[in-house]
Amino acid sequence: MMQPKTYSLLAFALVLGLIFHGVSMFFTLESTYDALIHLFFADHYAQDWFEPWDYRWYTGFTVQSYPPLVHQCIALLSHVGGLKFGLFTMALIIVGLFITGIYRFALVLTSSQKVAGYTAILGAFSSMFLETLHLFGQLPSLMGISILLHALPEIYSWIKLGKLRYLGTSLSLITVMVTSHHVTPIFGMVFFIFPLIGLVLMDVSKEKAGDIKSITFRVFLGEFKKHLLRIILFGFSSLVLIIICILPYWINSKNNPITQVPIPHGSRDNFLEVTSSGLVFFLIPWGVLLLILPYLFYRFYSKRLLFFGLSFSLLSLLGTGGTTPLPRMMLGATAFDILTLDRFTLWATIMALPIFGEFVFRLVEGDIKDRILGRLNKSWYYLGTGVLGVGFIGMAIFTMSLGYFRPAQPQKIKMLPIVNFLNQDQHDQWRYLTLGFGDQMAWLSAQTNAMTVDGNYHSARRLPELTTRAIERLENSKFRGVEGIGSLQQFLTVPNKYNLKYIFSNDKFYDPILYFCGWQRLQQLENGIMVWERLNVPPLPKIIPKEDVPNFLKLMWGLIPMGTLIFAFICNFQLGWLRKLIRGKTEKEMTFTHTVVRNELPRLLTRINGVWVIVLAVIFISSGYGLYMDNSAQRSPENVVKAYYDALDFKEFEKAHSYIDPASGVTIAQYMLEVSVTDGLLSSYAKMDSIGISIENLTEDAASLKAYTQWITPLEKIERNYQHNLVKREGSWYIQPTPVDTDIPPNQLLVRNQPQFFNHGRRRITSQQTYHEDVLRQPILEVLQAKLVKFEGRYSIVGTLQNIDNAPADVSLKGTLYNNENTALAQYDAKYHVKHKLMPKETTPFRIDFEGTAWVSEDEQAPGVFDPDTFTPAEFAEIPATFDLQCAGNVATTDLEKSLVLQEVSLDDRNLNGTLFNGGLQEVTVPQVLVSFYREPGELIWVDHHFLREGVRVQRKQEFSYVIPDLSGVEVLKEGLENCFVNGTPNSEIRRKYTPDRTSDSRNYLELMQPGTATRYMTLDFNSFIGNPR
Amino acid sequence: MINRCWHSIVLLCFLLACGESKVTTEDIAEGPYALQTEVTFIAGAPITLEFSGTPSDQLVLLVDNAWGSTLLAPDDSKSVSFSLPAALAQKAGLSNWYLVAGQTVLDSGEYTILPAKPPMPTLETYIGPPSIFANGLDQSMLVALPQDQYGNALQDSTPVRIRTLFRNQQEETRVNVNRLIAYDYIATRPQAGELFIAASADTQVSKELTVRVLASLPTDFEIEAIREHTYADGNQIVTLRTSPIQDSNGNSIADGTLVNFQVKNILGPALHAQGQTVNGVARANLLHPQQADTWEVSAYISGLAKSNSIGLEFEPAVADFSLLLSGDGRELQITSIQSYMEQLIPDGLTVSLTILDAMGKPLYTDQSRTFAGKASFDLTLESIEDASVYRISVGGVTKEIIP
Repeated sequence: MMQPKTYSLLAFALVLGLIFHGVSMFFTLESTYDALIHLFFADHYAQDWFEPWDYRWYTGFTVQSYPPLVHQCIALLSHVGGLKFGLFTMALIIVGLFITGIYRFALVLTSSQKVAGYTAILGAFSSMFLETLHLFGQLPSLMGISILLHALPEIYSWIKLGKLRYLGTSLSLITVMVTSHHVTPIFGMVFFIFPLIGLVLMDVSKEKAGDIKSITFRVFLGEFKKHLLRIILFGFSSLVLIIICILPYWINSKNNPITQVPIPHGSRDNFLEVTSSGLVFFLIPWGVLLLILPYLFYRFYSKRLLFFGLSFSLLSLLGTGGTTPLPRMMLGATAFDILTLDRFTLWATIMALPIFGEFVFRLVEGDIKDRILGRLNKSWYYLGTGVLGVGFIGMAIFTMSLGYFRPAQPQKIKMLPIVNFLNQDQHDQWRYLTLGFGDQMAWLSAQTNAMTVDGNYHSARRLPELTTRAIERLENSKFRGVEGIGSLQQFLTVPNKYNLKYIFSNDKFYDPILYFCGWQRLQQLENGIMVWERLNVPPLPKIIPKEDVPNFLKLMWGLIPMGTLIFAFICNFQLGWLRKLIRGKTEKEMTFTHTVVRNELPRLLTRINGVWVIVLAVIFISSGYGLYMDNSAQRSPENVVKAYYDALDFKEFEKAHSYIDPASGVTIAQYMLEVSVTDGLLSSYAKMDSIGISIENLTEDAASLKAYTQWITPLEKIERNYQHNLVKREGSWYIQPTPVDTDIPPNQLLVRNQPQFFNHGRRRITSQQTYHEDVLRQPILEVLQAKLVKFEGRYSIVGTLQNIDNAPADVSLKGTLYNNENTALAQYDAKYHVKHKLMPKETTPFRIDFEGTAWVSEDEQAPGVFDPDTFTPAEFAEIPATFDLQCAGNVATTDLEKSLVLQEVSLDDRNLNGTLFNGGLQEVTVPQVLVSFYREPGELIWVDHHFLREGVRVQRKQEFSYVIPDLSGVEVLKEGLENCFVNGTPNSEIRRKYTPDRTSDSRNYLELMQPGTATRYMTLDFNSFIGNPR
Repeated sequence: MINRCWHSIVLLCFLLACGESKVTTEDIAEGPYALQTEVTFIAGAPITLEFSGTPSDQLVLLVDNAWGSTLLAPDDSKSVSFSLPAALAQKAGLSNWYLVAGQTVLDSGEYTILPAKPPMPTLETYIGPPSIFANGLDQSMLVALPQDQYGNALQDSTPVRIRTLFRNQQEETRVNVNRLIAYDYIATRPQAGELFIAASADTQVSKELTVRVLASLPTDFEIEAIREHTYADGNQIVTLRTSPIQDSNGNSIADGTLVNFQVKNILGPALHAQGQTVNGVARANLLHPQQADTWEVSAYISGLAKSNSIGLEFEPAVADFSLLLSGDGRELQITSIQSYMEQLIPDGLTVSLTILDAMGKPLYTDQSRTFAGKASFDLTLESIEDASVYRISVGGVTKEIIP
């Protein structure tokens, strides 16, 4: 026997693998997609082992929605050296389990310990394993598959030899697998264990027939009947165990079925269309295996491995996702939309590893080597093996570096300042939300007991605002287009409903939407995270509802998984050692008697594989060339304009400048200066969505064209058309620079007197509730008019509101609609159509729209394109007849800039053109125009808003243009102030007490010339978002 | 789980044990019993209720006060006397007692504990709202809770002295405790300022309380315009300024009050600006118009106050300029745009181009801005065949050129 030598190969694989993964995972694991989520679950168990309810995510969810074993192991280890110690230790254990597992699986398939040794080495560095661990961080899934691999030889032995000992070890491993990961056993049964049973039957048939070729169907059937009892016994008991071991999980799945709108996943894309998904979910996992695909199929379809061949083909096909319609047809639409199909590729490649190991063995020291050397000279042999070797190493390095060059996560955030913030001053009495944290939000959640409305395990989402939309998290909503921002803005507009008071923003992109939804910046933490706060949000109630489960389920959940682990350990290791210690030596049962394949490589296969490699090479080179041609910027006028906007979009100004006509004399310094002075929604908060180009004029060396661009901003979608002139110089196209604004402000140094405000919060340093005398009086507001109107089928409340107090006020407005029987129909807060910050005696128009949760009914199709403006009107079963209005003022001390001046305005029947002038000392990043429409002076009927795309710099002008809507359809259903309340006091009481002698407004109204409507007047108000307050 | 189970078992055993011992007492207390002591006490002093009658270990005293009910055992077996523990003896108010033996109430009555002397050193007070308007109507309310050292409210009619200081003038009023509290309304003052309030009862004094009296609503005011020159150069700033705005009592209105300035020009309502007051004066900055204009400026504080209306004249700044069409007709240059002292007009003045057809109908419009007294239009892309007149307008001066 060559046992010592082959074990040394396994030992070699283990040493290399553990060192490699053990070192590298400190740089990769924390920035994977899933690792931190598992860490959060682990933290849950570390805090309370038996309680399945966790309040911290999604207003509460149950951890019985995910098998607990890996989480509980991390939790146990965390008591030794902290959560991250647990995570890394567990990952290291899984690496060890995987390498030994793939060794044992290869032994089953090939019966050669040497091949198995090769497989173990290749498996440890295979791109699919690296990707799953270092890019995805799917620890439970890897644990599940590793244990499955360990179980396969035991199952083989049980069916073949029928010794109860093997049934015990098989079942013990099945239980560990099922408590680690729930999908692995279900599909593992189908794709690994069924073919394995086929393999056993083939082997015993062969032993009976004496030769693999002489196995007939009759022999096979006979053996099947003979072994049927063992198969049924195993199948039935494993089924029972799969159900019992994670019974709470199944019960929870039944009680809370996944009724959510499916979340798009790259593994379901068409890989030919979405090449990035193709790379991540096809090219990387397959890696060099692709080169020997014909060999793999040839070997898998040999008689002995036939069943594995079927399984392998099916797995490979399912793994191709949406590239062909077949996977969807086979799985059914529901399963297709819930499952992430990358796991099929993972299993296919794992299944192929032993065959790959066999190939490498044959190539390095077997018959293939001899054949190549026999036919060609040594150099060809080295070239071939070299290409394969370099390809394998290259894939491994490429996979590992992907997370470095194309980070899937934002930069690592220091959580301590946030944790401290949440712990101080009772900030954890409210819910919080993170923006732009990526999966690191799970790490923050694990470190604090404060709660968030968001979460990172989307199967457990509970709020309809989340489950009805295809968003994983609110947190990264900008990547989810309309549905993301749509969900987010509902939470931002009505934060009271969720006791949501604090937002930690790591992404400037969300600033404008936060501001215009009424949030204010509180402070920047020392890690650079901006804390936003909303006033007038009640703290969390002391008792929060939860869904409880019977105690026996809690006990099962807490005890069984660890129990299975201990049981499996005793069965598989402990007993083996005991036997060894007692008897000195184990009797080796020759279970795997099949001999290694040698000298069967048909000519045809060699040729096919050769052609296949050449085809792959051609595809690879041609797609590379295509990419080059598409990206070579200055080859055509279209390319240079596209490249220019691309560079602008990614703020690569030096690159953008290189496309500007060098003869125009715009230096890089000048260009940077011009870029740096532009600020606003378009230049600071927009992401380019699409660009279309139409050439208007094209000669040999000059062109003029129009670029139609679409930009996504947090507030709205912007379409912008630009005219460009281009010239061709020395074979390259260049853009002529557009003229810059030559306007020159009159003054060099400005001085302004302006009041500033400061609120101590609490004056005494105390951990108690804020002292009575430190609580400021809520500013008194007065509703001047309020109306329920209907326009274009939607109901809105419009009106005007004044801060009649002497302190600046932050305004919250909540409107409720009632039917004739005074039953509340809908409730919503004012969003964009109000100035949320009012100076003393300032007025604001307002409009409250009633938004429903989008796409609640299943037949409604969510639009595929992004439109942050999308509005889902609330559905009313009855017609709203009346309304009430609850206004609350709180003292505001920030965002009080009111320096925009309407400098010029002109009106025609459909358009309003105006010029804004900034007379203050702060650059206004996003100016907003609130347009009020009146029938008679003072008789408001509609309020609209308009965001300017460009900011207004200090002492400079900015033109804007607004299309006046046709308001002939506005219907006033109800007006009056009787149901308006301010800080809980009736509005009439406030008028009687504070402003009994109010006179009519002395305002100048712009006269509208809209023929055919009763709307005759309009006024403009301005709201300014300052992106970078000084 | 298991822990809870153990608890239950231990508790059960304990209860069983207790139940058995209770049955054994047999001797019955004999009456009559009568209370021998006073029924009025001072809180905090040792209180013992003594009864005449035969001592018995079956006797218990049930004491009922506002805080709850308590059973007391006799102090010793030789006498029928019950000492109230501190928790009962320190709580002022009326209490009921019942002398009980087994199921029978042998006697009952009541006793009163009066608040102790001296009282607590600090007087608990609350005031709200913390700011009121100087409008003659508004008021704040002070609530004082005089207490003894054990936290018992002092008796009704205990006098509480309330002193206020406003603009260095002290006033004093007295109110009496009525049903545990004393309260008074603090009327507003005509002037704005800080109102300091202190309350005391006997030796008990409050901390310093403050109520801010805020200026009331603004009254009508005047405005004026400040500008460096009267030319419509589209570059200089006009500052609009209000007179110090006051409320009806002459207080300067709150800092930060928003004043709206509005301008009607020749074409109608056009400009609108806002200013925040500092010491009653609000300012807003507007640009000079780009061409000769007449402004009618007024200001208002929405629905509460308004200003007079003033007129502002702007003279044209641009006197003249030259037009130059390049030889190939592809570029239109506007040069030597001079201002009121023949200087180059400041950069950034709008130059507008209108291309008209033979019938005088506008075909195309464009705008540019001046730079170093010049501006130009690129006409290459607007290959307008039937253009017959290029009309250029700068600072209100219009010129035409025929291509």
